[in-house]
Amino acid sequence: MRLLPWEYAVRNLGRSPTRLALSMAGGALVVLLVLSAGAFVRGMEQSLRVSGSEQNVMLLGRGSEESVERSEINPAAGDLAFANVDGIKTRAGVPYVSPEVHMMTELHEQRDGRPLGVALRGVTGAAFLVHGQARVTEGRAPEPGRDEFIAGRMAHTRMGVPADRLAVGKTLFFDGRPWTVVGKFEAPGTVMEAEVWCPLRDLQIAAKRDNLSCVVLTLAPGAELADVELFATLRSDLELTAMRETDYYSTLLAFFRPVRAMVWATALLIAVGGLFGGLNTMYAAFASRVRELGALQAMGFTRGAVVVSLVQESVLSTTAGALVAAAAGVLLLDGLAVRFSMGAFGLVVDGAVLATGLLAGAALGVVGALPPAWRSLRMPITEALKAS
Amino acid sequence: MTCMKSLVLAALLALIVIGCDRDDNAASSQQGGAAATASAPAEAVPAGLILASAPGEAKDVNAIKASAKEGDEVVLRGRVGGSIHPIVDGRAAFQVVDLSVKSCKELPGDTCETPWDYCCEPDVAKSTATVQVVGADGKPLKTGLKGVGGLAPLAEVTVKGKVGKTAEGAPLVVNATGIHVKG
Repeated sequence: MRLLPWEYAVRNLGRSPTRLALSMAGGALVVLLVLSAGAFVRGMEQSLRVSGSEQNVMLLGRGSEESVERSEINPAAGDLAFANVDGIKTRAGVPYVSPEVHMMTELHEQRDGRPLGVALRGVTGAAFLVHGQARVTEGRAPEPGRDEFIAGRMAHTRMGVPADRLAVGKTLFFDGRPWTVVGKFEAPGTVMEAEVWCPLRDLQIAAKRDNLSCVVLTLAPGAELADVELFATLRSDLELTAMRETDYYSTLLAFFRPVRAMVWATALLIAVGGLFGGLNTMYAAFASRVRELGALQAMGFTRGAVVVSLVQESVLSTTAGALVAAAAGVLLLDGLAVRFSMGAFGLVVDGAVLATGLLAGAALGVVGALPPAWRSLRMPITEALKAS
Repeated sequence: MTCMKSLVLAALLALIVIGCDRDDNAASSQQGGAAATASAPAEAVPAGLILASAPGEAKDVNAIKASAKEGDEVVLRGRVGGSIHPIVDGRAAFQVVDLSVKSCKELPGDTCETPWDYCCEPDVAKSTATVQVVGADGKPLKTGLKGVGGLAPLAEVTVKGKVGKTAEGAPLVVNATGIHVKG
């Protein structure tokens, strides 16, 4: 089949700058929507995937494997695990064993002020050993008995307040008294970054509990999860479950699968709406060129060759719009903080998301051109040449 | 037109580089966090561990817990269960529950997917013992027992062995020399 020159398709784009701009804008909007959906899903997946470490094992209460906030375990679990499990990592004699309390609770801006939802974690100094992704970037770690917090870099997003509200030195109310933010930490790409941490004992006193939510321990190289599972079995009186931290967050990822599916379904529905709008534009564009298309056929080009050229035009315009959308996505969406039930995460516009967006733009160009192109070529050549 | 082609290709290339750079960074940060926790080679189960017939004079878990002390030779009878994973992966150890305690499977109308966890019985830990097969170092062998001799959750077992060292408050530990799984 002899195809029309590529230049023919390109030159035709310039025949109606307004129509070209509208096609590009339509394509850009649909692709931006696809990029937003992809960035949201990718960000959520990465946040939950990176939050866990393969080296870390969590000891949780039996039956609470899907929610550390609901878990309650014996406060001695950490010490017992260290005494009985071979292969727990240590540094200068300090074991990588982090007893923790996790709570979804509320802080207040003033004593009786607006409640701010927060993921609060009570920790000891070992938390910064075990959670290697966490690093103090400003100020210092909080000290026990002094009503102090350290806030994650994205904690303000989770709480719905400006970033400077959690600046070092600011005060928030918890358990009816003021607590001071003494530091900020980062834990890039993890859910920890949206949390507020405080000394374990202080949180236990405020929450009137002496048990723990979990113990997170780090295995030394060569150590095995099976030894921790054995400990949990031998001490079944403690009612513990041992699982890798990565497996815990994988469970949470599975929990959010319906949310991710809903996001994609919404994006698809709106994209289909955009497609129908594009079809309309293309019908009008091709209908006005019936005589020209008839002339091309009279010159010897097959219907197929003409369809290919029309699809080239459409794909060029939508792909150009897709490139604009991709650039906007990288500049505006990448890293944008999004709040969700577990905390907050940043949108991720990476290679996979960009490829999806660009492919969506190309597909829009193909699908949006085929029906109008074929409809415009249905007329016999003699009728087409007489068309006005 | 050539200029437009070049512009489009340049823009596409820039986006690919940006996207791949982001992918590489994410991949390397994940790999940096992963540790080499490869399993050690499995040890063999001792020959003669699985018994063709149940040893005589078996007692229930609760009866043994009430009277036995460290070092006593015992023959224990029970049902594999007590948690979602009663048979430890990669280690020769499993939990048994006294036969008098009903599993979820024995409760009419219960549709529990893991009836061997005895979730319907809040005090199951008081009627549980741990059976382990130890090596010369006194530690459980680095091999799983699931499927060995038909061992599975809710299987009725008779275990011959010696009462091991048990921490205060912890369930009874039996170092098994023979295990019979009721077929």
